[in-house]
Amino acid sequence: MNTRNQKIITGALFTVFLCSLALLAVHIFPELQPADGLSAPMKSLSQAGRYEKIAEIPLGKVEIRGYKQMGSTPGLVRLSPDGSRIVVGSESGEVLLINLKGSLLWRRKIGMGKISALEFSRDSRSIIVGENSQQGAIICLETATGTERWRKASVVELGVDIRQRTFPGIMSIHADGAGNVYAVALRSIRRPSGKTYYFARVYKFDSQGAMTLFPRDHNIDVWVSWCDVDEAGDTVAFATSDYTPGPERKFKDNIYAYDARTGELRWSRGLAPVAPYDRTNMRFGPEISADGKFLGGVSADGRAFLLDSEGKVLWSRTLSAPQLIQGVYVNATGLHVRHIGEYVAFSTGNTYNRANWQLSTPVEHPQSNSVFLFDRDGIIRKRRKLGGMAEELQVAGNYLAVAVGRNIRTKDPGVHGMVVFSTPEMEVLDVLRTEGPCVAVAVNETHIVGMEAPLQMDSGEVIGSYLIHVWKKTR
Amino acid sequence: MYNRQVWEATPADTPVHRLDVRTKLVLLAAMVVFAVGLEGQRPLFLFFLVALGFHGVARSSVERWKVLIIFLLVGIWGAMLSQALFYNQEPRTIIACLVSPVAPWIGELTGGVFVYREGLEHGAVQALRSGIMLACGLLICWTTDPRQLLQCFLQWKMPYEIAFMLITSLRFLPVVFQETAVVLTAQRLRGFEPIRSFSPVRWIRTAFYVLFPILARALRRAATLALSVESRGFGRRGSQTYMEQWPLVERGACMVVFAGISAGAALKILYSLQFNGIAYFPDLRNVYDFMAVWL
Repeated sequence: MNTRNQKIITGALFTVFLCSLALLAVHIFPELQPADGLSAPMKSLSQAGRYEKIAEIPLGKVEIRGYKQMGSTPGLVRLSPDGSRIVVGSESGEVLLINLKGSLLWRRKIGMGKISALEFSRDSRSIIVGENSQQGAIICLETATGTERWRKASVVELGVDIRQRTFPGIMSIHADGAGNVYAVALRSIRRPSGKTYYFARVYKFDSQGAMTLFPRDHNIDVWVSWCDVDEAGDTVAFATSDYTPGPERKFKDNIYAYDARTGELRWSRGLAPVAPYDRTNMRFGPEISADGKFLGGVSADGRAFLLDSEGKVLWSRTLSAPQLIQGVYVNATGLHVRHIGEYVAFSTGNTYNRANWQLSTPVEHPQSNSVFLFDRDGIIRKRRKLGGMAEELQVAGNYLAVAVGRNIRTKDPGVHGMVVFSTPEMEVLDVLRTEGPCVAVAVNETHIVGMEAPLQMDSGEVIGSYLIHVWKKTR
Repeated sequence: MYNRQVWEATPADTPVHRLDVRTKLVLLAAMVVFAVGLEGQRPLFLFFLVALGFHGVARSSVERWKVLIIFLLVGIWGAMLSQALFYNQEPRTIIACLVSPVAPWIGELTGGVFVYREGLEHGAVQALRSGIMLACGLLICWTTDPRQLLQCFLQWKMPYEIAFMLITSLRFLPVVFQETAVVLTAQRLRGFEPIRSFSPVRWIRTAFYVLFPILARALRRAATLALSVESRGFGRRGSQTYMEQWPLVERGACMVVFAGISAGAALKILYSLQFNGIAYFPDLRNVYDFMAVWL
């Protein structure tokens, strides 16, 4: 082999090695990727042209889920009340603050935990992060810098079982107009007997981090994953679920309302179950109207409720009734509730087989994956079929934005994206398609922010990416 | 690559060459411990670059870089490819389908052959680990006289027989490569072209043609060596070899490194205890967070 050939081989060897190192470096350090990939406006996929996409922000790698996994890829996105910034809680435990142009302001890891809840304080100066870990902490970050202002571990109240790996987690966070934030923490443990034990608590923090507990002196012994508070900070309410009910439970009712200032129980309301269910379970809601006069609720069995501020049920409507088809109970679970002015919107999720959600169903439930708009008298104004799971509903002014995710029955990827409705007409203002399922949404009067997740089709093909879309209203 | 000098330590005036052999061994041990203990891709990659940087400081020749690069490339791509195909943990994401599950016979037999993203990443981590150890090991081989190594081992009370075997194996490495070159040359002179085609059958035949003569020669050489050392009284206790004083600065640096290893090991154990649900200390939350985020 002559010298020239040797030089060529040596050069090629070094080149291949350096390329391999560069590939590894770019993969391991995503921040080394070209900066224009961070905020590159993509072509608008707006159907009606009312919105244009102004930024796409990749969130890095994420576990790619398919149709067989329960639940969507986790991710949270919120717009600051002043409308200038977006906060994202990613599946990797990172909090990112982004401006509306898509530029990253800061990012920080919260540690070992998984981010499970996220909210801005009403003055936009703080970000409240809830995590799921051995501590189950609520963390307050300064919006300007990302530095930690205070943290509170729910493990003190809820406990932890390291061996069984039953950790406390923050399920949801809400803010009132008086500068307080409220968080629900939950830990559950399933015993070999099949019985599940729950430990839940609602926390209130003022702007300095001073804490109040609901109830004051004991944990809630059923599942609580949601709470809400009225704008004035008078009433805090939460709903319950219990998948192994029994006479020993102290919290047998479905909705509880407390005086947010004194911590006293104001009222509680039980809602009779419907066959074939043995208990009414409410995982999302109640949602309190801004004036505090109405509470909207939706149960897992597919019913919608409206209550007044004293806990009286004003009306109840069936969004989706369980149907016995070919010996299988088929239903679509009630998912979300939102007040929009004088109206209330409810959503239903994917069709499921009551025996086991992973088992197939003979048909898709006709009321599944839909949004329903009712007025406060209980008269339905409109129902809209979404085609995919309503992952999140958000309201700004008189329009409603719905993040549409997977349809685990039809497996049609063409339904993914953001759907914007006007209210009370429920006219489709625009459809903003995304390749992968849209799993989270945040809105204000001028912008819509959506989180897209990748999805593995049954063929193995992966569609979509883990990223944030920012759309701006054009007209 | 088949040049014996590429494999043998050569004297030079570089900071790496000037280091005391004990310092080098302690640093090698530290790098190995960190490579095995670390799980994060980022610190592993940085350690890997540091290991390569030492070769730059030692002014390794182009020939040596070639040897190092060949080993590293085989390690990196081999580990990534094998893990990408055979990764069996969950979750795993298919990024390419090599054999469809519905392909006749082979598809049904294997259930499909896929390339998994998580497998590629796991393979990269394993490759970085072995790459750090390989780069550091070769650095010591290339910058340290084996006699110094032997003296160091003996001073550290390693049994003479084991130390001797270790050093002999190091010395045998260049010999084996030189013998390989001789065998290949002999085969070529007889008209054999070992890498003319990519046929697997031909490659296996080539391996047999090459490996058997190498093995035979190595055994013959080992027998000669055994006779030689026996005739010189191998195994009889003689006087201990004298070693120069370990420089104080290097010794201090090694103490710091040792303390770092101990602290790292303690953190690792602590993290493993909580990860496996055995013990969790709430007051050490910041330590756990640091481990989870950075290490």
